[in-house]
Amino acid sequence: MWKHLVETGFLGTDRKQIQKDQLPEQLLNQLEKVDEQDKENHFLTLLSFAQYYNESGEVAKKYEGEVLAEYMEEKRFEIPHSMQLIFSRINNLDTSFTKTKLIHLWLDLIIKKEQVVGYPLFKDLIKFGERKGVEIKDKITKVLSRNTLKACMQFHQVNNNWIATPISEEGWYTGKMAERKSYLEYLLGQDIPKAIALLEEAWPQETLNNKVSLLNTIFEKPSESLVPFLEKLYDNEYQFSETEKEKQREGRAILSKILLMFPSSKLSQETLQQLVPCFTKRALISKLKWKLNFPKEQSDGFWNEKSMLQKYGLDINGFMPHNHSTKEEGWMAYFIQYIPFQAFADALNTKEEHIINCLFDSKELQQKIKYADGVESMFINELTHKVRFYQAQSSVKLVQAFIERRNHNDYELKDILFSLQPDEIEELIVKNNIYRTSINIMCNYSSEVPDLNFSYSLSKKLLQKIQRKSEDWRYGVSTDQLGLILSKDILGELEIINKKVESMTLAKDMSHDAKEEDLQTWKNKIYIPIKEVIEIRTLLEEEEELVTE
Amino acid sequence: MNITEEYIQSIAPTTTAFSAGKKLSIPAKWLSYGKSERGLWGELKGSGKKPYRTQIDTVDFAYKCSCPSRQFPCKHGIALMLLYVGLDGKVEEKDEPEWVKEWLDKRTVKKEKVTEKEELTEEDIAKKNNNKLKTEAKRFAEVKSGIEELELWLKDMVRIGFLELPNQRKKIDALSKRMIDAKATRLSNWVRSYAELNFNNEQIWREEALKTTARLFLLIKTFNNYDQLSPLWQQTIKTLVGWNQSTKELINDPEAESLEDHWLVVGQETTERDGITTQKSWLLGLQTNRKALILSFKTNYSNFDHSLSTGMLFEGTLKFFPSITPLRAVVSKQNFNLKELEVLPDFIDNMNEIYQLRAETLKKNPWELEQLVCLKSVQLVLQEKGSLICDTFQNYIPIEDECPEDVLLNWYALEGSSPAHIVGLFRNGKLLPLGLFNQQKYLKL
Repeated sequence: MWKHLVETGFLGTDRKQIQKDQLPEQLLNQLEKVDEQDKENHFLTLLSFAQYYNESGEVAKKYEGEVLAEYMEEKRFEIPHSMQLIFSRINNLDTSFTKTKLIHLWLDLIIKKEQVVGYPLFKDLIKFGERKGVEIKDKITKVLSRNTLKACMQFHQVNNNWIATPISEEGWYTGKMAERKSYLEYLLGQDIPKAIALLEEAWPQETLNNKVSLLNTIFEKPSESLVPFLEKLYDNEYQFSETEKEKQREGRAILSKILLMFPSSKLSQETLQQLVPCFTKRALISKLKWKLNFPKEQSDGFWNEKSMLQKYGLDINGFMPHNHSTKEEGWMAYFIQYIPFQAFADALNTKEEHIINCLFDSKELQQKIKYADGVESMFINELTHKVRFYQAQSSVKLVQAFIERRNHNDYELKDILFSLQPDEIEELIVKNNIYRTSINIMCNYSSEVPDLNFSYSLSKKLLQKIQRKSEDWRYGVSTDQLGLILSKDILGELEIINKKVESMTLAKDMSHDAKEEDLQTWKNKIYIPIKEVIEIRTLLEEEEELVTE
Repeated sequence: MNITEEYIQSIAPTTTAFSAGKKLSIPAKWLSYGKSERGLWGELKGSGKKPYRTQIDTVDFAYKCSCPSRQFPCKHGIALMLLYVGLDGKVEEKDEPEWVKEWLDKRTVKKEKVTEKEELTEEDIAKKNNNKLKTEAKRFAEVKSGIEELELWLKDMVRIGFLELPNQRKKIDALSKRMIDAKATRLSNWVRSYAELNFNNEQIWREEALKTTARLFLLIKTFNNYDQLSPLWQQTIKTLVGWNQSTKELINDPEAESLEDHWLVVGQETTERDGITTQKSWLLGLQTNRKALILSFKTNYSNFDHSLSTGMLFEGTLKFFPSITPLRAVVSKQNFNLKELEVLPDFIDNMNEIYQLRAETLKKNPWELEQLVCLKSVQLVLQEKGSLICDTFQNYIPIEDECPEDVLLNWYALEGSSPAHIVGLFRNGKLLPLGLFNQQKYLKL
């Protein structure tokens, strides 16, 4: 009936007549009083009645499919209100890095407490995780209730990329190269005998490319226990042959670098035997104990291209001693970069610092600094590289020597500082009075800062330093990252400094606006961000203590 | 003051204002802040010489700030509310500073003045009534002439056929404006709804056009019979045609229906038309099972009344505008906010009851297009094309196409597809879920 009326209305009463036989009796009775001659009025009245007749008679449809009642029960409790407030405070911080770092702590705590993030906070949390790495994404999925996680998957808020693939032995056998490397890296940190066993088992079936990849992984995490395995490879598969492939040379080059790092290796000992004659003792009155004499290139023997290629995989086309004027200098630079100074010292029966002094300060080794005044060691790049990237070889002495002698920039110093243990970093900052540089490094390279917790005295010193030149931060980034590494007990001192800044600014001989600007810079760029982060850390610690209790 | 961050976000004029307010909500950023039994205030350093003074009337929700921003609430107002939420309400109680006391006192005096009745002489009353009758008669004539034109157009459309409707946009626009001139503003909206049909989907627009025509024609016919209608029906028809309902008159009307209950705000919906944003707040009386609709309007010069937000539960009195099916109301007394649901409303557990309810409502008022329903043990059935809500008898109602995906995500996250107690809005044969009851709490979806 309704369909018929819609069709009639669509075409118009001029073109289509109402077919009364399609209308129910009740409606026809109602229409009796309406004049049929006024066709439009008759139709509209009928339409109105029919619409209500139709709507009043509607019933619900039956669902033909199966209605499943799925709800995944959750045994974990929801986080308390106090934790929700902490999330809100973290999410309100200035820098993404600090937020991420604190969210990690917040998530770790929830995971430890075996709690879940409920409705509606889970949505903010997912939004937070959207542009973050898999590590944080994975933790987020762990704090969602099973049902919420299912819903988020269903509505494509979360997908499989949010869940970190667990590092497993299965990944070593069946995974892609990235997974295999991850597992090897994990084993190199946890269980070296197992790593060796797996490598020995798999090695014969690996392609040349894969072997280079695996050797590179070992190079990133070298260990003395691997020396016998690596020496076996070096002595057999990677022995030089005239018909060798490029990947074999590449493999030998990596193997050599690793073996040179360990004085127990045959290669290291053989090499040191060749290097020892290059060092001669100076006159006793000299501050420098040792002098380095460059060898002459030999047509046969150790110091020539052929030997370097055969022993160390150094290809003259690929090995670019670009900072050195002769091949001998370049080769020497290579050995300096990879052989630990303690090994040099032991071979020469002297102290490590004498070797460091020789290489940094020998007059014969000084060259003009590029694009600047002054001179520096010709091995400065190798020394820098050694300090920055080979943590195993780095030592406080070497870093100290570097800081004293190298006209370093923040970028270099950052790598050097972070190559040390946390307590060594603190010691070095204090010893070298590099407070302001350290503040800059901590704020500008925050993503690379290791987990630090400075002592009260260093925290106080850093705050005083930053306060003295707080106006420098007017156009700078927020300092909230400092809140992550300063002592939590420093809040009282921070308040004292704040009061001091307020009174000092008022006393300054400058315009009201300038005073205001200085004060606002201090408040908004330093005082409030640092205070906020330390307070959040304290709250998280209090929550953690509740768990322990 | 029972507010949440979500609520503050919903009343913020823009997301930027909310973010800016959030940044300022750190306690250390405030020079001072405090609260009293009736207010919350704070001083914040801004770009001006003097600090900005922000204050909130926590009893009869309102805010004021000395900053020059035209946004309402400004970022400082938002920040103060967020500060309060962030501190979990633990703001120190203090003596009100003079500037806070002055503002709050003024507001109290103003409220008292509003409630004081103006005393008029009999002569004044007669004169006033006489003027009112004259104005009414004039307006009635204007509306009538507008309606005659509308009826004529409908008859023309029936004669030539609605297939011509897509070509009638200009005429529809002109007719809609004519209705405004004739002071039949709500009829103008009905007319304009023809132009808003989705002409790309022929089957749907045909059906919708004829449904609208059926309702509109019945309304015209009823209006033409105005004199034969009961006073209550006359009032209902006038409202449907476009007569405004005065909140002030309603509050002062001692005969208006007044109902005290525990009122739960079950959902809110905003729509924008011609620069006016209308906010509908749906309320449920938990003890009486009465449903109510509260309208609030926002223009370039005024903002919504922010005293209601979804999930809010308060003990108070609503006054209902007279109608054959009284639904629209105003809050005449809001005593205090309740924290927990002590009673739950009556639920329907069979979808067919919604249709029965709908038929009963239509019988009383054929123009009542929306029906607020409380459903018990219904399940969400997610489907790629249009999800459904199913009862335990396998009866279902489709979910409104415009329902935001977020609503379904929330429901699914809270209850999965297991049976849930929900509140929804039934209209055009579909349901819009508004919220659900979960562990003695009502949660907005």
